[in-house]
Amino acid sequence: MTPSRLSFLILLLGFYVATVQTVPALSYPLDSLPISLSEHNIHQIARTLPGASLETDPDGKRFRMKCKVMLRDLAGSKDADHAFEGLDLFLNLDMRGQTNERGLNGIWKLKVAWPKGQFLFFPWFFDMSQIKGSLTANGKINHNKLFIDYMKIYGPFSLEAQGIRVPCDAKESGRDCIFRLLKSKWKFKAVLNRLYNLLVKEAFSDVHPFVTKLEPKGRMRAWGEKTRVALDVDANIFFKGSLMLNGLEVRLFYPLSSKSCENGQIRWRDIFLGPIIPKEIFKSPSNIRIAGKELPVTICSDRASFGPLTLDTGNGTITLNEASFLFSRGTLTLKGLGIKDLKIHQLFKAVPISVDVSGYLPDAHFQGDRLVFKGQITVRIAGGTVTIKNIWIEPYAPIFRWGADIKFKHIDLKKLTEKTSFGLVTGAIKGRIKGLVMSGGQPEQFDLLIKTDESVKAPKKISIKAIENLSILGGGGGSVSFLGQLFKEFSYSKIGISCKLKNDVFELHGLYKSGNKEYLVKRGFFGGVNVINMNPNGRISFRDMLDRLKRIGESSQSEVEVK
Amino acid sequence: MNRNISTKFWVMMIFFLVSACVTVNIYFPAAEVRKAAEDIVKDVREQQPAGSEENSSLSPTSWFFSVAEAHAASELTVSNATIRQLKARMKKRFPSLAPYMARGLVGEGLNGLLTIKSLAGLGLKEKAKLKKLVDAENKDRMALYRAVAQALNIPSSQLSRVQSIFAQQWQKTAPKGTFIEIKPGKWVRK
Repeated sequence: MTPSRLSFLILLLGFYVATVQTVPALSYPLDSLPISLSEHNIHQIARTLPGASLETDPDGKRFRMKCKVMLRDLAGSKDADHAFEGLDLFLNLDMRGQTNERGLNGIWKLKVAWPKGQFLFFPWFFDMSQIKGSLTANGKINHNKLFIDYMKIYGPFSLEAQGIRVPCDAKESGRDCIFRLLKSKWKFKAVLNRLYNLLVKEAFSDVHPFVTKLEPKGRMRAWGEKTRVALDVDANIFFKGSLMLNGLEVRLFYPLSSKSCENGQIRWRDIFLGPIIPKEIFKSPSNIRIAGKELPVTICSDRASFGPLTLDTGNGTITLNEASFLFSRGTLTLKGLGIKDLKIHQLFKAVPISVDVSGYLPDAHFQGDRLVFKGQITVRIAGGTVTIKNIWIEPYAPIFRWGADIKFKHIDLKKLTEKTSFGLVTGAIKGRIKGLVMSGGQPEQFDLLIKTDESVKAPKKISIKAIENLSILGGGGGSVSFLGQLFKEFSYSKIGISCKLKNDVFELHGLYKSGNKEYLVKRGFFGGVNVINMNPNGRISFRDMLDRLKRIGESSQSEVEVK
Repeated sequence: MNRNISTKFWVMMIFFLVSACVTVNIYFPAAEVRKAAEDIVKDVREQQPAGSEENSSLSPTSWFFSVAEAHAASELTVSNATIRQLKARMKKRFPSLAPYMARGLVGEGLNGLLTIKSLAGLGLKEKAKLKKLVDAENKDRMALYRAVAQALNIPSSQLSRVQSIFAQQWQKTAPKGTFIEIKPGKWVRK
């Protein structure tokens, strides 16, 4: 190794250990260090650096260099995503050694402090004046290879390492080099709250605002072993200031061999889902909890698997046998997702009638951007059943979307309507929703068909209020004529409605036609009520449909025939 | 010899017939895409009084639980729940992006995406902020183009044409001072 290469190595070491990353292409607006490092040898550095001294033996092969210097306003960048500027470094280096034909050998001691500066390692930005720290290290150089016998970084976290050789060999791949470094003896400690603020909150709050609501309190340790990296976390997690996870213990291991897997576990004392479940929607959020106290975790070099897990809502359970996350593709696979006797009406405030959900989704895997579920969910509602199949979600889409195909039958309209403001209707219906797509909680697309379920024998009556509301949906004004007002309810023979939504246009049709009239509700042979679809071409814009939904319950002129 | 010529003739005939059979015509609804681009870009870039846009989207729960609070989005040639929500996010983001565009730091590319032209004069913290803004905007724009293409039954192989049409509208409505890519790689300031 030539002295100039050595000098570059020394300074690079300073940057390397201070930032725990290599900075391959530095620019040097170094006011206090007006030299080009690559062109100068160790003698020139010693002469140029303020506070540096160099002693050499007569033949120039043995040397001792001491350097105590403040480097001000350093700046550099690799590219637009990786840069630092305004960086002040206090550097104290003591190095002695000899050079011969086999290279350089020697020992060194280094202390670096960074009172201020800014680092960008996109998406992370670090203001070093907020995370002041220092680094002390000593080691040796054997035949041009740099060894760190001991290194300690103090700052927002502490890192101690021993017996590390840097940099990587030219023959080594980046992964091999990192794995070799991780196999060394090192120990990382951090106060969880500070680390979370530094690495997660600052960087991701713009894109994922919920990270600002989370606050982990506790400690984290990680260390290298011969075959694996160990992670150990003890914490309490708060959400919006309320305790959500009490007594969390994480013991995980990452294998440093591509062929092996390591078992770990996540334990907890209590989980309170109340803070993350909206009180305005759920009846008793605090009753919902994760059953059990432990989640087994298996980590392989390419994936992590979790499970089994049981979510006990107090009114039914949700179980998951296994969730696997593939690191390289960022994809999730779920196995054995079960729902048992989930009583939705006891969970949600806005559900006025009994709704029980059960189902088993044996497998879910990614097809493109979609996580597609096999199996079905069955909902028991109003004396009938709703079957939900072909369920998919797009968890990584900019707007969260999900979809399914739904079939329903034997739905008792009396049970469905008697506790709602829609108006009482009796009888039963069946039908389907084909190709339902929900985006960000809003309907994007569906093809709905509702018709009378003749297999259920029940009186078919419809109240004035329900007629008015149906007529509003059907494009009429929404009130029944004076003659009609004399009755509280009317009989009907059939209900038949089809409604499609695509490109923000609803297409509403009655299934029963007579001449140029299209009936949403058809009267019987001996009288009753007809509700006629008055939409031109059956098309209703999204805006109109929402206006109509708002108007339901109000009344004006209608298109209802009473006989 | 004659037989050889005859064979060649028939081989050529079959080749031409087969060629005729595999001709594929792909319909691209350029007019519809242009109309959608005009409407969407206009809506994103035209700033309305504060509060008017906040009420124009449905919250995830409102559809089921509080329809009365719902408010319809404007009627477009091409629209759906995804497009409306993406548009609302981009509209909210635009006031933050516009000053950087006017300073010539961010340009409107021919591919319908934003490009950082320069980071001069920005501190590292502001660089990080600008990059996050541009990344988020481009992610939403790509999702928007896919949603528009899907709504108009345009195959994904034609997505770049959708992007190009939108690019014209983004460039047309960009703030003064914005870099505009007029030919591949050639940028001028508006």
